[in-house]
Amino acid sequence: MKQDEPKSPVGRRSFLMTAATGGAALVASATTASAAAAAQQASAAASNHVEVSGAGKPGSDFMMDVLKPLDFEYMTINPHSDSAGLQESVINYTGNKNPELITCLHEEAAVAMAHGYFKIAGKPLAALIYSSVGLQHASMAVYSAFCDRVPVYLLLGNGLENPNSRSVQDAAAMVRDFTKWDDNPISWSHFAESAVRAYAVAMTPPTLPVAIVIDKRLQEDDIPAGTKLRVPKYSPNTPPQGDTAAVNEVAKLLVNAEYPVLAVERAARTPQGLQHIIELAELLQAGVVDTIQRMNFPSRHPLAQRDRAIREATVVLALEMPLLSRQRLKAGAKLASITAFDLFTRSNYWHFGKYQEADFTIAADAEATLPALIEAVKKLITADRRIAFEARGKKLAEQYQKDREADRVLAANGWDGSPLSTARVAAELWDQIKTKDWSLVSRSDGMSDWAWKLWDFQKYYHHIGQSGSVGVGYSNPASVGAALANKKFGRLSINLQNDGDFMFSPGTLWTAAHHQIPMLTVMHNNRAYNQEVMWTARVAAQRNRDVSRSAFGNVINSPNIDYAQLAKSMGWYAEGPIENPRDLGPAIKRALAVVEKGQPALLDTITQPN
Amino acid sequence: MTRVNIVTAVAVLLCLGIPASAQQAPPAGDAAQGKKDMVTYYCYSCHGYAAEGAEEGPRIDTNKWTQANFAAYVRKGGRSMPRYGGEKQIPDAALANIYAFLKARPANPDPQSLPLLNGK
Repeated sequence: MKQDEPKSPVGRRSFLMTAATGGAALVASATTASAAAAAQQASAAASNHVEVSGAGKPGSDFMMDVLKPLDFEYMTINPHSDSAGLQESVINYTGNKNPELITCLHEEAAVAMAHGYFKIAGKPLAALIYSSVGLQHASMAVYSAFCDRVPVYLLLGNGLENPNSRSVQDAAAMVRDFTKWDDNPISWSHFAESAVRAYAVAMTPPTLPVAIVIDKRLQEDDIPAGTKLRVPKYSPNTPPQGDTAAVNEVAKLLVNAEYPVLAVERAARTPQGLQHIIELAELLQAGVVDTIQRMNFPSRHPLAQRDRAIREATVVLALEMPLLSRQRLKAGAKLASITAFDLFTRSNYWHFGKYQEADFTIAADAEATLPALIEAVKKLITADRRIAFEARGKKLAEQYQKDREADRVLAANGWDGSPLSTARVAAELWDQIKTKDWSLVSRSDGMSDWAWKLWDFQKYYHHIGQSGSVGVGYSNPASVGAALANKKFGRLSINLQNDGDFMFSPGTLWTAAHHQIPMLTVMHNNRAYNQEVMWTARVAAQRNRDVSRSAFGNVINSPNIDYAQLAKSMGWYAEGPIENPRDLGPAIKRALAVVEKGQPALLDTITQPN
Repeated sequence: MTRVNIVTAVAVLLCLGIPASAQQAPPAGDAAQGKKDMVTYYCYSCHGYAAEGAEEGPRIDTNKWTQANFAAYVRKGGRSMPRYGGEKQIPDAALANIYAFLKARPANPDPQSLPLLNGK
């Protein structure tokens, strides 16, 4: 429990009054601009003008006046004294609705929930975090969101008046390497400007986390009677589109290529992006290689190809895939790239990978540029090229079928084994969810990608992609955040959960139960940090040392964690450990029945290592 | 491990030039002990508990590998396969046991016979 802060002396209050007056003066000076601009601004000012009249309206009530039009459905919180003002305004001034407070037991969960939520909802969720100690907890999740190009809106409660171990002079400094913009407002009008600007910055591609420090006194002081404050109007930025001439050049490259491939990573920023990629691929009859960081392309589309297609391609168009190095292409192949990545990036953490060395780069948002590219391609296709495309498409479809058949053969390996084959787990699940309105709210790159290989991913919300940073502790809370976004649509949210990752934030289960977020979590419980087991064994072998000691520091057994009991203790329905493959189907059926009534459920399935 | 890696692995074996007929047959191992040795020496972490195969390590198919070739490959390593160069990494007896275990495994089912892999 965090200690309460003592009240402020009068000197600080008078400083804030001066700042408020200065803010009002800024409004006055703006209206002396040119006639047209002045009329527009006056009109906007009139429509957004919030007059605070009467004594005693708390500053944080005005902060909610500013935040309300930004349409946050939820605000995650791990409570702390330095945001008590804003928290109380959310509860009593705006009635705990839009936003509704979501109680989290760890700040990493609060931010990771926002990460998962965005990838379904398409809009940010606010996270109310203690600026110092809370942000330290949250920073891993902020980094994951940054790497994954997800805009999380951080509000950082901070008190400097009576400094203590939880006060910090520059709160956002800790995460400045992996946020896009931050500010520390010193007045209410300053807060209003910065809060709206932060949202606009966050939502402009590349979409990334932002942070606003909210001073404790600014929250808790009463706004003097007669003060006029203004809520700035949010004006979304149009995503940057590629230059027309450059787009036409890329179109020529693609239409004339013998074997073009679309390499997609975060190309589908919205459901519209998914449709654009399908249209472009089908126009060109081009193979699509997907790293599945978003739901970019249907998994069972006959043009969906494996990684080898990049090595075989004569032209590769990388769409929001800045990490695709030309070293992966064969000699003589051309690499074109459309990405917003270089429009904003940081250098301390190596999320940027090796330099791409593309032959042709368009610094723009891929999804926003695709309609123009599609039109340019359409204009260039001749009857001859259409014949060539059809022949190519036929070959790609044949390769796709071969790959699918090979997957089925591999899936049958160890089918009846114990520990459970991960292919068996994925197949049993698919059998029971395929007729429902389902959504995979976790990573799919664990469990040897069996969900991706066996399920039929078509709709945008069928998959939220991977974790971004490949860091730790993402899946559990992000899946709950995505399930929260799915809840109002009545979708069935499925989380394939690694055991090691789970234990970074087990308290997230309580949040899901408390807020009645239905979802099914199926454990990939191999009782180890198995990647690290493999690496340690590999290094021991290379050094001609004893491989049999590779468990030290890597396994999660003795005792085995009972995830079913853990989940039950936090209000979930749960079964397990499940080790016999014949028990899988019936257990899934029982769990789904519970989820469909609105309760979260967990199955502790003991699986093969991969 | 991909199909390319499997092909590479087999090619490496051929390059080792170890015709089975030229060697004395290695001693047969104990299948039950071999199942335990798969865990002790961390073969399971990439290949699965019964070497049924996974993304990190392919299925070890004893129809294609003789015991001698199998042991030689493990000793030499490959592109993704760590090199278990000597007795300290894995004793000869354990290699024999593991091979015996792999040989004694039931065959994988035909995917055509599995309804869950043949539905939509």
